[in-house]
Amino acid sequence: MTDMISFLTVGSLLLVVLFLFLRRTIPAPAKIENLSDAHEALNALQSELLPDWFVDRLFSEKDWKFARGHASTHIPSLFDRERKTVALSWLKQTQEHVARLMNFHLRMARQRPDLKPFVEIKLTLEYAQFQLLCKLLAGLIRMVGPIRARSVAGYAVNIATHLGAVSEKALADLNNAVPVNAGD
Amino acid sequence: MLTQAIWWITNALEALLLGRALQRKFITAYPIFFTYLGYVLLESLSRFYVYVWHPAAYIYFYWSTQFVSILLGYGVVWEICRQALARYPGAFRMARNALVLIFALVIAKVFGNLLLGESWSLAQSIAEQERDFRVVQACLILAIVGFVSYYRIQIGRNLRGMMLGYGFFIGTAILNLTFRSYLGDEFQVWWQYLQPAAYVVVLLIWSVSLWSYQPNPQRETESRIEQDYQSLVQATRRRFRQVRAHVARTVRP
Repeated sequence: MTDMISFLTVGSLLLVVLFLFLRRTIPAPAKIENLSDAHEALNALQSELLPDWFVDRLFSEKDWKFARGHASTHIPSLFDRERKTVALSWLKQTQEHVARLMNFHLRMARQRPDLKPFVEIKLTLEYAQFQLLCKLLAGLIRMVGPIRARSVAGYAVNIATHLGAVSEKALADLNNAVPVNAGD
Repeated sequence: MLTQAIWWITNALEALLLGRALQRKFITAYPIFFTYLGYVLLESLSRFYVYVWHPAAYIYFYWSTQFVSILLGYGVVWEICRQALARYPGAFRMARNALVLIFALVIAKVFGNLLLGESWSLAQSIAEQERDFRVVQACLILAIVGFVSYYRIQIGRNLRGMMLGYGFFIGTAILNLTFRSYLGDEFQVWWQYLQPAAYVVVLLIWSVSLWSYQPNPQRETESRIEQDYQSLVQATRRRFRQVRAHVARTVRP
């Protein structure tokens, strides 16, 4: 009976996947059109969104305590609202830039004959983990605020930093391979 | 009566597809696929001959020809993979490794089942084996669809149709063969209609998608980043050739 269910599952899964495949037109990934776009995404990520000081400040308890210490009741709630908005905006931008870099990576990877399958699998799993963490983080920021979500933010930042480093290496490899004039 | 009508329709559609591909000269663009189609047409006609003139041998003839068709089916899966990914060496390498792994794992399981199996009715046993081989093909097609989607590879109308049609055929074959294997002769009545009817749908999908030659999009329609990468690769190769020639000239006495 278990076998029967597993066979029926495989058959049905194939039909469902093909149906979805038929409906979905594979988007031409046009987010990054050339190497300088990839550099831009990487720079934005490394210098603006992921530096420790920035993330620490964004999820800092210090500011929160300062706002709480204010006599007015309006100030803490305003602070919470504003900080939540900023944290969500940071998260969205970080996700977008990492997605652009992954897009760049996929475009490079699919052309490389020397691709290392295990590295690719690891990277894919890492990116999936990052996306899941981002969803979790967004939920936590909305529910309990950025201050209490800082440990999850730390994990997400670590993964994003690693994904950025992988792209940086890929870009460096490409740049090192360019000493030839186009007309050569 | 209905089965006969379906039989004639499938033969006509197969002949139409082959004739059209010959006329439009794209039969060589998908050699394995059209070999498969040609084989299925011949198989169908020869089965008819055996059924009428040598009915006692029909069951043996049916299953032995069916196995050749399953093997050619693996060729179709390989052609789909090659056509979809060959222009992307990295994605092709990943897919090839994954396909070999899936193939080895599932074949090991199939032979394991075969050695440990207890069913001895010829048709029943062979139907189960066919189902197992179809499951391998289903896993391979799922993997190819996964790679095409993951690497966002644009594929043409021909290949999309080939993939959808063959995938649909495999999916319905697994469902039919599973029900037949578990329900036995009770399902035979349904099987003789369902399987050929599903195949007619497959042939209709192929007739629409392979009516004219529409290959995968060319590189011009893809983004500059890949052109950049390709030009880098070519330029580096040229430079290597120049360096090699220079070294050879210098070293030669």
